[in-house]
Formats: sequence, C-alpha cells, structure tokens
Amino acid sequence: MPTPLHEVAGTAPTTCTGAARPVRPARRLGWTWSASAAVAPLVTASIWYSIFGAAWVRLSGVDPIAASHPSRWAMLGQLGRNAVVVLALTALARRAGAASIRDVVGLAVLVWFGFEAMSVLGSVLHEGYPFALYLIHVGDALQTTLVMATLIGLSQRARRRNLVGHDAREGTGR
Amino acid sequence: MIAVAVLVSAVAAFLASSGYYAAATPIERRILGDATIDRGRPGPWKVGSELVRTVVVAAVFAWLAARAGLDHLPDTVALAALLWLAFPAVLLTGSILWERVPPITAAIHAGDWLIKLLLIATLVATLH
Repeated sequence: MPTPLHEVAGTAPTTCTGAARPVRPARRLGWTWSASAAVAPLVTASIWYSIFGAAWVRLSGVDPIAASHPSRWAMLGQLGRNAVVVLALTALARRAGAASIRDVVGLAVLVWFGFEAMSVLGSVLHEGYPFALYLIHVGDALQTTLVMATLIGLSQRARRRNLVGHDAREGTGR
Repeated sequence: MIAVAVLVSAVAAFLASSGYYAAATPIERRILGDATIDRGRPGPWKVGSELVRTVVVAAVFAWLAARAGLDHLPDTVALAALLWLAFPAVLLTGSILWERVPPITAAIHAGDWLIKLLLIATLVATLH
C-alpha cells in the first residue's frame, strides 16, 4: 500500500473537529538521525583534533596552518566520506538484524576493529608510520564510529516505530 | 569449518598481498621516484604480525557474513565490496585529503585491500 499522504505531508489526518494535528513522522525522524550520524562526527572530530591536533601536526609533518584551517572542499569531502560510512553501517545493521542501539554499537565496534584499526596498522608495520599517530587516528575513528552507531541505532528505532505504527493503522497487529 | 575457512583465506590473502606489492611497488617508484616509501624486506615478526592482522580481518568478515545470513558467493562478494568502499577506501581518501599521501600510494593500498577482501569473500563462501 502506498504511503498515506499525511505521512508524506507531515501532518495527521484532519480530526473530527476539522483541525489538522501536526506530527513528526517517524520516517522523517529516521532520516534526521541518519543525516545527524554523518554531520555529528564533524563536530566530535574537531573536538578530538583540538585535543590531539598538536601531536598530529608534529608527527605527520602536515602544514599546521592548513591543518587548522581546512578548506570548504575538504570539509565537504569529509562529510561525503562520513555519509558513505553511515550508509554502509546502516545497511550492515539492518542486514545483520541489529535492532537496538546496543546491537548497532556492538556491530560498529567490531567493524571498526576489523577494518579500520587493522587497515591503518599496515602502515605501522610496513611503512614506519608512528604508533602514536596510529593511536590518534584509530581513536578518532573509534569515537566517530560510536557517535555514528548511536545515531544509526536511534534511526533504526524510529524506523521500527514507523513500521509498527503503519501495521497498527493497517490493522495487521503485527 | 568456519575456522578452516578463516585460516585458509587469511593465508591466501597474505600470499596474494605479498605478490601484489612486489608487482605494484616498481610502478609506485617509477611515479614517485625518491619519495617512494621503502617498505624493505619484512622480518619474521612482521610476517607473523601481518598474518595475525589478516586472520583478524578474515574472522570479522566471516562473522559479519554469518550474522547477515550471506552464505553464497555473490552475496559475500557484495559484502566485501561494501566493506572495502566504506572502510579501507574511505580511510585512504582521508589520508590523501588530510595528510597529503600521494594518490598512487593510496591507490596501491586500496587495490591490496580489494584483492584481500574479494579473496576472503570467495574462500569463506566456498569453504564454510
């Protein structure tokens, strides 16, 4: 059955008194959480690098001025990278049946360990990448993963409530 | 049986990765000249650590595939492609963006991860 129009429009059906009751549909809320999952790590990562930024600049040899004033394109690129990770984590969580925030966080931490922590470790082993720099980057990836997973978990919860609400309206009682 | 699949795929991925870098490093050197990172000849502890690292990757992959109910070959390959895109590829674009790693070096690492994950996906689906 197609999505009821009131869900698309963001308002409940007109009541018997004729007044339209504004609601925030769970589906829209789910998308809000998902978008937040891509945007919020920009904030938390800037906090992370305000703490470890000096060590990062010293160890990596990047230009400190460029590092402290990233271009608009660099930030846009970072947002795009975050969006790819959020979409992949969401797909994995749904496919793996991770329904609660705890499940999604557990899954995301495992993925972080297996594919992010292990990925950067190769540079430490074979390219002389400083271990402290490794810890800074892997720590940032972990905090990013935790923030994303929590918001994806909230998105999943909103989506589930939407499905339950939809079934109740349909009268399936599932 | 899944343990065998993990171990076999980890060893196969390790061997494929070694061959890949032996082939790709001269190309990198031709492009970057003296700026190429000297990876040298790995000692026994590095070989051991690399094997353990690949076992961890294969084990996490196998767990995810089992949890997601992806048992067959096209499905595990799709999972490998998704994981490659979202994690190693995204991390490597970050190294170009934020640490000025030469794109050819990042591309070589990305190719290594793609080969590794596709091989693990194929062997986990075949041997599990």
